Amino acid sequence: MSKLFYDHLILIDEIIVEIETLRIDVQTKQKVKKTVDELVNYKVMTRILDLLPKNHHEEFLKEFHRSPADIRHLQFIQNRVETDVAKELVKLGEEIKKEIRKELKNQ
Amino acid sequence: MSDPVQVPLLAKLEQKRLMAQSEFAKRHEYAQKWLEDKGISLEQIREHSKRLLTGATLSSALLLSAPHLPLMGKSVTSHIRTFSSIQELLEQLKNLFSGKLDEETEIDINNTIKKYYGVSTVFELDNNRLPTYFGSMGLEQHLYRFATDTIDQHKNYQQAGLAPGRGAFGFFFDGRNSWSEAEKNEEYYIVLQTFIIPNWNTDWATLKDWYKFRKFLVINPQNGQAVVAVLGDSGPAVSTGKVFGGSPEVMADLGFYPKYTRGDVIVLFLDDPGNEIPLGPVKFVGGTTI
Repeated sequence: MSKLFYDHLILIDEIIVEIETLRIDVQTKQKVKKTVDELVNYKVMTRILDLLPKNHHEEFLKEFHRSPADIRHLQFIQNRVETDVAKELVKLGEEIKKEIRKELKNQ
Repeated sequence: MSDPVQVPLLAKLEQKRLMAQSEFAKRHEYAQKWLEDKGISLEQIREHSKRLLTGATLSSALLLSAPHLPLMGKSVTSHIRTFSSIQELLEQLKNLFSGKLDEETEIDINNTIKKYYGVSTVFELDNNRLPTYFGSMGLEQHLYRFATDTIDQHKNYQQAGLAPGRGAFGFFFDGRNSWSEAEKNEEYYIVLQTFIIPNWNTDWATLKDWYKFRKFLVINPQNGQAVVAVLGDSGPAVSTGKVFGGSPEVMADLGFYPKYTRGDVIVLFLDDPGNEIPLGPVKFVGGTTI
């Protein structure tokens, strides 16, 4: 998959590997992986915009739209907030993965 | 087809995704609208990223401007983004002969095939991959369905003749399957070069059973005609320059035979765990062939 600037903090590949081991057909696996990826993207972007002051949203969105994989976006955000953004996103990633693992185990 | 126990997982995840999407839209209405105005959503952001990366690569641009350049040994990811129509998919598939695919492009192709043909295909099934998915398919003769079979007992295309021996996977009718199934399997069979599958010689016993009468989707990228067929034999010889073979019925339904006895095709595993998709021509879900 094409990269996004926060992928290395969320490490959703860990979940993708677990989905691969499920005893479901290939087409459903692809749908599950896609749904998980979309879920993560919504949650991560919500958290980023929660952290980033509103007056910087447009500038961030422009840069993100121009280059979604550019890791310098993290620095852009970090320069405008008090909290440790990387740490926040790692924590969020763990929460999301825990939530998804729970569903995978229950299936 | 999905097993019933799979549905709750996908449904639950989809519900969570919708909630996350709703939360994003509620808390960041401006951002949601901004992205919409740009014609993208967070669901498509990886595709958007991929397009940008593709556009930034000079070599990709060169390849795109010369789609018939040989692609042997080169990644062809840059040729595939998303397919807005079956015509676009087929145009791209024509350029993929001899090329290598990455996982993402394979998914794009499978999703588009699902959309337009209504059947699920995969490039890898149970950890098995084909030596190639694209290449020349030649006309095969009819195959023996049982030991005393003769050409005049075959319904169609008797002029194609009967091969001198049985296929590599044995007779189509072995007394344990139904006659109608055996007959249909022989009508719609293909041949591929199982002998060049890397682990064929070491895992022959397992692989032979796995590949025997395995279902495939075959597409003629020139006209979009597609056929579901089973693997009925091994071949053709590498020296022929062909990489697949097709029964007279397969070749006819792909639009080659009787005018032509060979043509370029795409061959993909059919993902049909319930064995519910019938053999034979596959209709477009969304229109007519070219």
